[in-house]
Formats: sequence, structure tokens, C-alpha cells
Amino acid sequence: MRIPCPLCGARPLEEFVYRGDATVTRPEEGAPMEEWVSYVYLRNNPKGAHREHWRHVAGCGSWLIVDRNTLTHEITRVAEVRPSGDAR
Amino acid sequence: MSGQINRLSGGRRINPEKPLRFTFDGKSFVGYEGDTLASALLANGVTFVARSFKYHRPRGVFTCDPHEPNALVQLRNGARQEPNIPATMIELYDGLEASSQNRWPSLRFDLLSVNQLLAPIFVAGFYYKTFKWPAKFWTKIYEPVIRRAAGLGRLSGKIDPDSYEKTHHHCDILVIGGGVAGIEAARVVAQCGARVTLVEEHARLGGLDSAGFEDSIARLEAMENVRILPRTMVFGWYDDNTFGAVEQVSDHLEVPGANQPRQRMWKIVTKQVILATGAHERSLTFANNDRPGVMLASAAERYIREYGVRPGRRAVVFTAGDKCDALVETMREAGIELAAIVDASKGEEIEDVRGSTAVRAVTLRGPDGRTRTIACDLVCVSGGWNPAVQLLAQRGQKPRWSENHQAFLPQHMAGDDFLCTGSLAGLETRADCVAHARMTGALAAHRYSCPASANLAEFYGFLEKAEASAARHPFFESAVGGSKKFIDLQHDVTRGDVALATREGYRSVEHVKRYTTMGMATDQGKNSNIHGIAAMSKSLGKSMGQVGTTGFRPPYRPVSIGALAGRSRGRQWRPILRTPLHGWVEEKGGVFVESGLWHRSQYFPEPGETMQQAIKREVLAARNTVGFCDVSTLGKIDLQGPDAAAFLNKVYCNGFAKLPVGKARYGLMLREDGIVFDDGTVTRLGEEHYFITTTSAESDSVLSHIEFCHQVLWPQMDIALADVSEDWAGIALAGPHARSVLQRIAPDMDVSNDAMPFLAAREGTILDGVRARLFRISFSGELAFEIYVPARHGRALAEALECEGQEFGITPYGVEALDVLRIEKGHVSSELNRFTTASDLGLGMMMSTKKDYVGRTLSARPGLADSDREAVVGLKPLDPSHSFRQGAHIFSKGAAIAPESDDGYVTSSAWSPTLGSHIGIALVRRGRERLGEVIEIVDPLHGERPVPAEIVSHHFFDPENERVRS
Ligand SMILES: [Zn+2]
Repeated sequence: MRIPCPLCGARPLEEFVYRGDATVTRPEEGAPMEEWVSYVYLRNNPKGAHREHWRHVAGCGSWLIVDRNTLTHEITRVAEVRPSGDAR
Repeated sequence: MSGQINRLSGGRRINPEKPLRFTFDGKSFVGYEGDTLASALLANGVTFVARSFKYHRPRGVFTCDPHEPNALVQLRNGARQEPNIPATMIELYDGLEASSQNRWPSLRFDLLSVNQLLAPIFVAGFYYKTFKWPAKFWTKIYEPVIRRAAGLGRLSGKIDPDSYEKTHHHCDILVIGGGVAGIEAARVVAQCGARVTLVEEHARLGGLDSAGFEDSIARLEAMENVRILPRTMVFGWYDDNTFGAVEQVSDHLEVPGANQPRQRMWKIVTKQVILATGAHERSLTFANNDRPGVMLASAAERYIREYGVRPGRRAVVFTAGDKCDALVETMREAGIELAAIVDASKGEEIEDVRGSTAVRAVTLRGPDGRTRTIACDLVCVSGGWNPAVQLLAQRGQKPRWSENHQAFLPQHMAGDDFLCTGSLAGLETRADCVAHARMTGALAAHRYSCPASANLAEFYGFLEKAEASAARHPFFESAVGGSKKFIDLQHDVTRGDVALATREGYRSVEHVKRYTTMGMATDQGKNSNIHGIAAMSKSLGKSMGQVGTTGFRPPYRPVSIGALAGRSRGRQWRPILRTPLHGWVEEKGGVFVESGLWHRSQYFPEPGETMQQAIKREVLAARNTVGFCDVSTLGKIDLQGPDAAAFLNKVYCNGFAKLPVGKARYGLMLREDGIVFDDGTVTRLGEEHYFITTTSAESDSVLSHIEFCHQVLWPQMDIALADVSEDWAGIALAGPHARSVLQRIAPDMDVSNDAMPFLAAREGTILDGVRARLFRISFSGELAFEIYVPARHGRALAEALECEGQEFGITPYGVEALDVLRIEKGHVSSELNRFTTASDLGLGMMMSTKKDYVGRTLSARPGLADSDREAVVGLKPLDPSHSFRQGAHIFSKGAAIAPESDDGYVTSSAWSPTLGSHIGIALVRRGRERLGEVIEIVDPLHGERPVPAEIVSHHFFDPENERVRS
């Protein structure tokens, strides 16, 4: 598998680390415990389209949002989570 | 030498000018250059070469292919010994030594063939049925006895003396399979100038029959844009057209040449792939179809034609309907008597095969039901062809059953980036294969030049026409005959086993496979699956397509562990990290210890000193005079920006908003689930500039975590982070004379207690103008400084400290003394073990109540705040000389030594030269309430007697912190 890093180009899987679901958002300060528990522990395990966090750890170090099909491994979109440089 | 009684003249691959000696089971033979071990054995009249897996039945060479199910041998001796190698793939070399497997004490006289009498026990699922109870029988009887009886060859147990390597390769078009289809497709596509790579698992191109293609091969080999990889097997097809392949660089030699690897693993990335993987001939199911002398028809033909070997003198051909013209003609030319052609499409069947260690005769049954027995020593079986769809199936294709071809074909013959051709695509004649392969090559070239406009109508049309005109006779098994009809030769699975599995309720081919172990041997079902599916189809009354094939995963064929490991073994198994002081430590005679990827200085023994003596001396030096220690392995992060303080407040549980410039502070970082993640120091160097250190072990994960915090959680914060771990060398200078030594190497800086009190941080120049950062931080409990200089000056700093500290008795110390010092002081380190909370560690008061930070909310969960949790305490044995280990468990006095009464465990232990006692740190249930209680430290794992010890504060040494502030 190769991931097209927006900064480095298509790079092999070995250069990246996977974190997980990119659709969860950290609750606001003071949010009830249930929201935090669900943020940290509860995940869907979709078959098909998924939005994920990957880090190009052996490259630019960017955290990326990767739209990946968990069934086919097809990657449809990759973006920096925090746009760098001119993109900001 | 009488030797090669079955050698004919004229084998295409054979060079009779070059005789080669070899031994099999200790007996000497001679073969010729060009032989495989299988062909050489057959030439010498050796037809019985192995015992089968379960029943220890005599077996002979069955194929001419890599997925040979019977003739697996142990190759070479000593450290190079390799088990389970198909004799059909071993290229003969002079001096080759091989032996048969799975027999004891010898092939002819095998005591374990008594298993045949136990056949009723070894039926499908016998593991599940037989070995349910009692549990201890597993270790006493089942494992040693049954495992010995059922098995393959043995490894040497020695270190492999050869090397393996890995390489990456990029091409435009990858052609898999070097038979005539692969050759022609590659030759045509290469004319467009694309970079073409052709991979072939055999030593030479040509496939089953390359007669007349010598020119094509020569032209292909001469093309500069074509790379041919012979002896290379593509084992896996991965995402984005990445392929794994193994090249057997020197397996055909006795010993690899100088600097030559034994095997090379290729990672191939291509734009397009042409699959010309061919087809495998299949057998038929009939009684005693496993006797030595039963052989695939195409294999017999190839042994005669290619190797000049007569596999028998009087043959019977059993065919599902194919006329076997080529075989008949080849046998006639070779002078092999054809006793009968048994054609199933005419209602004829083989009912039985006679003979034990060799075929003696077969019993035929005609359409009229009449039987007759014919003497013969060779049975050639032609059951049809299975296209090699395995690589496609790895990509998720479900092979499609073709009634006309009587075979599973690729579900999709083409995709955006792949094309199938040759017999893989179902084509049955050489002319069809060649014509379609050329068409495929042209199509791939067209796609290479202008990808959008390729038209596949002709490509598909050709295949559809071929399929429409195919009319294979559906036949898989003789309806008559006894019980030993083998489906899986390698795993000894019979027709009866599959029938039993379906009677017992198994319906899915995947379940029947696992229950009977059919297709689970090293040939991965290439010989057997189709017959298992046919048997299921009959038993269940379903069509072949409805039963379907099992899934195929990589590898296509077994891959040696050596090839997967490549150079990552021994000293190269992982990278080594060395600090800037590494060379200096070496010169000082320091001993290194591996810590993660780091090689850290463990201790510095004086001549004649033991490790314990050295550690004691180093600890006492730091306590009484002065010592220094390499701390360059700490993770170091540079943080800058207007929001830096606010960011630190988010990632650490303690507050950083009020940290003044020029001050350092201990920081504790939690995970979002409330567990402690890491600790370290944060120093404010300027208004918007901080220097962070992390533990050595977590430096990478902390960096990744805070990058996540910055880029994902709080992207609006205006900060910048940089990993500067490798930019700075760090040395901790500790002991009562630390300041005096520091003043000497930093004459331009004021390091007095007034100018530089505890936790102060200063930047300046030391030595002769070296930029440095001085932090008054102590991990040892002594007056101490951490000195950071650019990495290239690390060595000079160590040398200067050694020189200027000489009169104070300065002593370098390693991580062992460092650990003793921090245990004496009660600093937590190994207690941060991914299970502990700040409160468990006695650091609960650090958790701010005034701000949001990572881990705040979930650290308040009832389970993490439970007063019954284990908390950090110190342990002091009642007898100071009683030692105990990290990992030992804590029990109340008199409590049963059982998990239910376990009260915690030792996390750190050391001999304290300062206190003259063994001491330890432990996580003990409600530990802080139990100070003064005497407990027992229990270590049954090491067979040690319980050590009675008192629970004390873990701040053993200088609990008032007077020394660090002195
Ligand atoms: Zn990148």
C-alpha cells in the first residue's frame, strides 16, 4: 500500500503509523464523562469507506487525514490535518 | 557404474558430457548436468523416494513441478540442512546430499508404517475427536508420539551460515510466468520501449514445452528494456501493484559463491501486470492412486522429453478424456510400451492399483462392468488442468467454474492494471496461447502509451470463443474401488475423509478443508483442492461452482524465513543508536547495555572489579565527591511560539503558565484515558521558547503524541515543535563537588547557589566558546546539573569534566548507578508502566484542578480513583542482606500465596551502598496506609524463599531535599 502524502508524494506504508478513526472529536472541557468514554473507547469498525488518522512518521511528520476503503484499501483523499505553509 | 538404468538419450535439458555425483539416503548415484534430483533419481531407477505424512505409505515422484506432493526431501547436511524441499525443484550439483523424510529407521523398513493399520483412527477430524481428554495426555502421549509419527523433515537447529538479501524493483510491466504465453506477451509489449520484467520460477524459460521458441527467448533476452528473473517465484500480490518474489540465487549450488546470497527477496512495484502463470495438471481419484509409479501424464512426458528419463517400461494411461497424443508419441519414441489407455469419457475406469513400493499392475473396469488386470510399472494420470489462479484470488477474486473447460478460471480476465493470458485464461492449445499472448502484449503496450483508449473487445472475444468451443469431459473419480483413494497425497486425505466430513454436517469448502486438513500441506492444495471440491459436489449434490474454491492467501509457495528476514539478523537485526559519547565510553572501558535501540554505558569497571563493585564505587562517588553520566538518550523537543505556555498546559497535567524564564520544572504527561504516559522536564529559555526532555524509552511516542495534540487537537495554537534529540549531547553532573567542577569548565558563567538555585536554567558558553545549556536538575538527589552542548562537542565535554574534576575524584557512572541513585532517592521510573495513575505514583498533587489537559476527565473515573489501588511505596528487607527482584510479588504475612491475595509487585530493586541494605520500590495495594507493616516478598518464578520486608516511604535518601538545594 502506498499513501500519497500531500507534502512528500506517494510513499510506502512502512513510513506511516496508523492511529485510527479520524471522525471522533475531543469533547469540550467539562463535557460529561460518557462523552469522554465514547471519545476514547468507542469505535465503529466499518467495512468500506473510512476516515483515518495516519502520521508520516518516517517522512515529514505530518498527521494526515486519509480516506481509505477498509475493504479494498483504495485511498480516495489525503490531506494534512493542520495545513502547513501556503495552504494555511 | 551400472547406475542410470532408465536414462534415455536426447533429453533437451541434459548434458551427458557432465556427469554429477550425488547421494540419496547415503547411497551414491550419478546424474547429469541439467537434471533435477527427481529426474536423476528416476534415471537411476529410484522410484520409491518418500513415506507419506500420516500413514507412512511408500511414495514416488508424482510431478515435475514445484508443488510436488510426495518427493519432499531433506537437502544438504549440517547447518545448511533444509527440510521439505521438492526433489522436482532441486537442480543437481556435484556432491549433492539428500535424504528421505518421515521414516524411521529407514525408507524401506519403516516402523511407523504401522500407522496404516491405524487408518480407521486417523480419519477426518481425528485431532478434534481423539485428543479431548485427559489434558495431561497432551504432553505425555499425544504430542511426543503422534507428532513424531506425523511430520516432515527436520531443521538442523544450527545457525544458517548463508546470507539473504532484499531488493526493490520498479517496472512498467511485470510479466509473471515464463512459459510460451509469458515469453510472447513480454516480447511484444517490450517493443513499445516500456521497462518490462519477466519472472519465472524455474531455472529457464519455456514452461511445459518451449520447442520452437528458442528464437523468441533469445530475442527477449537481448532486449535492453527487458529484465528476466529466472528461479524467481512471485509469492504475493499486494496493494497498489506491489509484488513479493523470492529469487533462489544460489540454491542450485552446493555453497553460494563469494558475496552471493542464498536467496533474494524482491519487492516489485509495477504499473501493469500480465499474468501468464499457466495451469497445473491434475490427478484423478481412484484406489491406491498414490503408489510409486503413479505420475501426472505431463510429468511423465516432460521427464522423457526434457530429461531423457524413462519413468517406467510399461505404462497405462488413465485420462479424463484428453487423448494424450503428445505423451503417447513421446513414449513411443522412447520405447516405452503403452499397455492401455483408460479413457473415462468412454466409460473406462481404473478400479485398483496393485503393488506396494512400486506399481505392479492395474485393474481396469470397462463400460460393460467387466474387469481385467494389466501388468505395468507406470500409471500416467491426466485429469485435466487447473489454471493457476492463486495470485488473482489473493486480490479477492472468486474463481469462476467453467463447465466447458471443467476448471476454475479467473473471475476477471482483465482489470485496470492487469491482463490474463495463456492457459491461466483457460486456453488449451499452444497456438491459442501464443496468439492470445501476443494480443495481450500489444494491449499492454497500448495501455502504456495511451492508457485511456485500450479496447478489450478482441481480447475478451478470443477467450469467449475458446471457452465456447471447449468440451472437457467432466470426470474426477472412479466410481469403483477400495478405501484408499487419495485426494490430498501430501496430507494423506482420502475420498472417505471428505465424505465423512459432509456426513458429519460440514457444508462449506473452507470448513471441510480445515476439518480434513485437505489442501493445508506445503503444496497448498494445488494437487488436491479440485478433487476435494468434486467430492463435496457429489456428496452434497451441488455444482462445482456452488461448492467453490477456498480462499488463497500469500505465499503462493512456501518462503524461507531467511528470505523474509534478509539482513535483519544477528547484529543487523535492528538499528543501533549510539550517543555522542559512545567512542569515549569505549576508550574508558565502559560496558554497554542495550536499552531500546540505544547502546548505553552500563558501568565503568576498574581493572579486576566486578559489576557490583563498580556500581557501588560509582554510586558512592556521586554521593560523596562527584560523578557524571551520559544522559544524551533523553528525548529533546524544542517548542516555540506565542501559545507555547498554553500548549504545555494542555499536554502536561501540572501547570506551566507561571513558569518564569530561566526556570525548569518537572512535568507529568497523561494519556487521554488518565494513565500516566511520560515524565520529564520543561525549561523556559525565553518568553516564547521552551526546551522539553522526555524519557529515553518514550521519546518517539511522546513526540508523535504532542504532534498529534498540536496538529489535530489544537491546530489553532500558534506554536512550532522540533525534535532536537540528536542535536544535543547531555551529561548529568552530580555530587557535592558538582558546582566546583562546573565552575571550572564554565568560567564565564556564574553557577553559584544564588545565581543558579535549584531548578534554574542558564544558557552560555563553556569550555572554549562552546554554546551550552545548564539546568540545575537532579535525578540522583544530589547537588546536580544537566549540561547540554551541541552533539559534536559531547566528547570534548566528557574529557573536560574528567580532566577538571580529577582533583575532586570525579567518576563517570553508568545507567546501573544512575538507577541505584534514583531508587535511593525514590524517583519513579520503571513505575511508569502504562498501568499507573499519577495518584498511584504518589504524584496526585501534581494534577491541576484549574485547567483542561489531556487525561483530566478520565483520570477521575471511579476505578482509577479507587482507594484500594496499588500505590508506590518503598521496601526494606528486615535483614538488609536479603535481596529480591523486580517482578516479585507482595503478600501480607501469612496470606495464601495465590492470585486472590496478591497485594502488588516490586517495580525496582537494588543494593544501596548508601544505606547498606537492599531496597526496592513496589506498587502495593493501599500502600500509603501500610507504612511500617511487614510483608513478604515472594518470587516463586525464581524459586526463591520469601523475603520479609517493611513497607517504608520510597524516599529513602534525603527526604527533605536538602542536598539538591545545597
Ligand atoms: Zn509526508
